Amino acid sequence: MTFEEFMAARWASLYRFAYVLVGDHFRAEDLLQEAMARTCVRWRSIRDKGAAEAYVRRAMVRQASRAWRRRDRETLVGQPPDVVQVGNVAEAADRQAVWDEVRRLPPRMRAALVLRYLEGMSEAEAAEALGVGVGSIKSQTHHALKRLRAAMTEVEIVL
Amino acid sequence: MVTKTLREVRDAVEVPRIDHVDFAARTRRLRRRRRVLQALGAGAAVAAVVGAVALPTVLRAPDAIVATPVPEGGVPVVLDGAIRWAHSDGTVTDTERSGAPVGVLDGELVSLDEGVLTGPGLRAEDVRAAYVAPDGVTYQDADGTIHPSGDRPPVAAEGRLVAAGDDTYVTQQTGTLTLHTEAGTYGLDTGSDGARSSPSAVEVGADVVMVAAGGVVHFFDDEGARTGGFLGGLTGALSPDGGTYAYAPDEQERARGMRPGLAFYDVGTDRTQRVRLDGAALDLAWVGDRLVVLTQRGDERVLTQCRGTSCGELLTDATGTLSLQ
Repeated sequence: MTFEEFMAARWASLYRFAYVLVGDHFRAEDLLQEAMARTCVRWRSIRDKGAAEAYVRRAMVRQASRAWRRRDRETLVGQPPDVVQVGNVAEAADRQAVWDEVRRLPPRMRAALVLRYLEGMSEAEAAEALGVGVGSIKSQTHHALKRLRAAMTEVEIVL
Repeated sequence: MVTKTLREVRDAVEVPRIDHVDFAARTRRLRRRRRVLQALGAGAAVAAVVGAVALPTVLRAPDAIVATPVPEGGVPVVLDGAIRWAHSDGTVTDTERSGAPVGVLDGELVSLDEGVLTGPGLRAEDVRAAYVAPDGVTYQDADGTIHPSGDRPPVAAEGRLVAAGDDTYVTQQTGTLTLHTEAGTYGLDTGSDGARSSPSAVEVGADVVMVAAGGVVHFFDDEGARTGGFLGGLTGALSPDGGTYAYAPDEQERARGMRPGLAFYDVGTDRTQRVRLDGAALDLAWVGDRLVVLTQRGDERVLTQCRGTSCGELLTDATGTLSLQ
């Protein structure tokens, strides 16, 4: 597989991952472009091309984590909510509230949540995708849910 | 609720087209940076060994800063007590420098000779440890002050500088290792049950830190979290991009029955590839994406160079004095 084939095939999926990771279109595109460029220059040295997508995801999580630390805390951008308004109004409002809280989580916690509860990965798979130990995934997920619960006293967190 | 919310957000995301102009600009910038890395000479791995030795204050200093450009494909080695270039065609030429090579910065040799650190636009005295990274040199004075690379101001440090990267460095104080980054400081815990083992080697490659301690090689991320490790493989070198740890058994490990050969451990995927390597490993160092390995075979020392897993012998030293430090 050439890098161009890889990029064309995985761009949309990785962009969606980047967006959920940082919660902002501009930063998601910047994050993905940078991670893809890094992958491109290393392409020949990546022996297992099947692991390239995991490499890009991990690069994005690490980069997002660094950027988050520099800013101390992220500030929510003033763009309209992205949650599609389906179902009853109360349920949609709850989901919007959950998404707002998810966007406030540090990227590594958010990444753990995304891989476990969006991508449906096991703890071991998520650990491999992010290049961390299983214990780290357990811990990040636990703390993410704890933060969500603490912040969402009026919304029941159902996985 | 979390899963449903994340799915809705993901599915609602409008995916932009690939900005190929921006992408091309980013890859050009990264390739330029990689070219600098590839000119790093023996780089971080050599520097790690240099830094492990407390050097005395200045005894003899060069008269001025001397630029020593790196020849194409050259690797700085120490032979007969002088720093020389080992070339890819197996020849050796002089650098007119003595002491120990620290690495290569901006295409020029950085060396440390009896406390005098010399490099491109750089001359410092009373230096006890120094490390080269793509963005500059991090060094520590005899009084303990650490001079980080780049424009960052000197820092008074209680610990000893034992490794450094672009924007990170590691100090050691009474067996305790501390990682210093722009974001903060983090302890590097190598004890599985709270006990600490004295580290025998520390290296930084991009956002990965390698620590060899207590017979175990540990890997940490840039927040000081341990991400992996394995038993043995203590004679090794972490690549400048932090992606690969290459190692080979030294004489003691061979005697203990460690599997012979040169191993390339992929830090990201936890996978290892092995190639044949004769002799006992003495030292390893990365030259950009090339690896050089020094082995002992009887009375001779052999320098082997690898590109990927394709390896070939560069030169054989019958004097038995060749070293990478």
